[in-house]
Amino acid sequence: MIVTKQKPMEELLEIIKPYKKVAIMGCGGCATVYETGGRRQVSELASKLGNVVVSGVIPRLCSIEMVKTKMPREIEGTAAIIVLSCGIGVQTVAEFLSEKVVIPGLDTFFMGRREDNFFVEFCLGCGNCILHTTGGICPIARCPKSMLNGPCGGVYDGKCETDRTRDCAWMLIYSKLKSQTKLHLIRSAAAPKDFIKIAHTRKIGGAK
Amino acid sequence: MSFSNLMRSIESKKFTITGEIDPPKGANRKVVVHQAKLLKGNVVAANVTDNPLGIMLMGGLACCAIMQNEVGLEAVYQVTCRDRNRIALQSDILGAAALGIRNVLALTGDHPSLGDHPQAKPVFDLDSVQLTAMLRKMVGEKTDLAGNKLNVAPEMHIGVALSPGLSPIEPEIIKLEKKIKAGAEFAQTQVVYDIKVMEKLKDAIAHLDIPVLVGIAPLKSIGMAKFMAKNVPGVVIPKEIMEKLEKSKNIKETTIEITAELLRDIKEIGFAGAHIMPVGMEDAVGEIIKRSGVRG
Repeated sequence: MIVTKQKPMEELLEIIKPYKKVAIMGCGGCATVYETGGRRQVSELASKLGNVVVSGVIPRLCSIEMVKTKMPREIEGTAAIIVLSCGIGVQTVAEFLSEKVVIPGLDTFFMGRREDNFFVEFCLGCGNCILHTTGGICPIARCPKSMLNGPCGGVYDGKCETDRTRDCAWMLIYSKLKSQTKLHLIRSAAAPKDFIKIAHTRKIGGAK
Repeated sequence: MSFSNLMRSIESKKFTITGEIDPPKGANRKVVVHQAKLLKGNVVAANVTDNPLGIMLMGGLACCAIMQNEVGLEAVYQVTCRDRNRIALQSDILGAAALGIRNVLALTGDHPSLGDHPQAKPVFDLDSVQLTAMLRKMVGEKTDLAGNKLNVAPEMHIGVALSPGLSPIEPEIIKLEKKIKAGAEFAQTQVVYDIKVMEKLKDAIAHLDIPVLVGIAPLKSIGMAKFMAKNVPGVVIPKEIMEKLEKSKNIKETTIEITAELLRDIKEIGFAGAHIMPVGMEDAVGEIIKRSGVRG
């Protein structure tokens, strides 16, 4: 999922100050699952703001087709739309309603999942998945240095130097591969990453 | 073929001792000269750190040049992947070679979140294994990483770091094996105070052909000892050492004694040498070595 968080209310109020009437659009995808831009969050925000003329949730704001076909007509009566989705949804709405001001209601963080009271990053979208060689644990997303050849010198009792509550990804990889008797997978040196596949701004073929 | 005094010393099988200097927070070159002068004659070469812990200090390349040119102490240029991508790293290596630097230590580097500019963008384009391989390519194949020919290739010996305190140690050894295969010629370790850790390390690398200089740092205060044990990964300070420091009426004297004994242990266990990180006790390095008798 794409992990998002609601912007602080003061910040949002400051952004929408110039607009008498606003609309709110939520997203039925990740933002609904993680309760940042679903039906409930849209109506809660609408009642807090008080000047919302139209609101709703579109199944996937990252789909230009869905935005085109499901956007309510009443949106025409507003100058500004608060979008409760990741940055992809915000930009898709902005492109479709090109004459309107689009306001991100959420901050977008990363691709990850919920773990207890936290959201944790699991994928950096590096364009060249190596999870079959690392016991299904990604060192690119889960090591702050994206080490490809083993742990750095900053491991404290199996934890990371940058956050001693987080397991060192490489110690997890080592334990997993050892228990699977597959340590040979990490015995040869991994070549430097190809950042042509990672650098902004990315666009790949193959969409159908 | 040896390009440096450090490598000649290692190859001669003499017990080899390197030192380390800390670049200044500021543009004061006297700080570099002062530390280097205290170390000269006691160590064969001195490492220059690369913004350790992500704390912004004078650049290592400039410090190495000052140290070599003004003091005549050979440098080990520490290079980390934290702040420079592969283009900047290679470019600096060529500059270092042109300035007469003949040893480089290839490191991944501490994460910037630990330093005094935690908001900085971490680079980590390469890791230490990949950096080692890139340096080997420049020195050995006389090309850059992309395969373009270098008109004059750098002549440098490539060292790597080793963390003996990692537990279990196997992933560190796997990484060391990769570094050796990539072209590492010597290793310097993180600080070790525990002879058991040294012995375990010796066993763990018995199958490998690489000279190892074991890291030690004089404990100049009880506070420093406690700080190291708490904050430096894998560092264990044995009870006996803590007791000696706590009972001491003259900490400097006691520390010289403790560090001299560690030097003797390192030699007895059979390591190629030691790497002394004086952290402010540069003036005691000569006495530590003399008292240890490792040169005798």
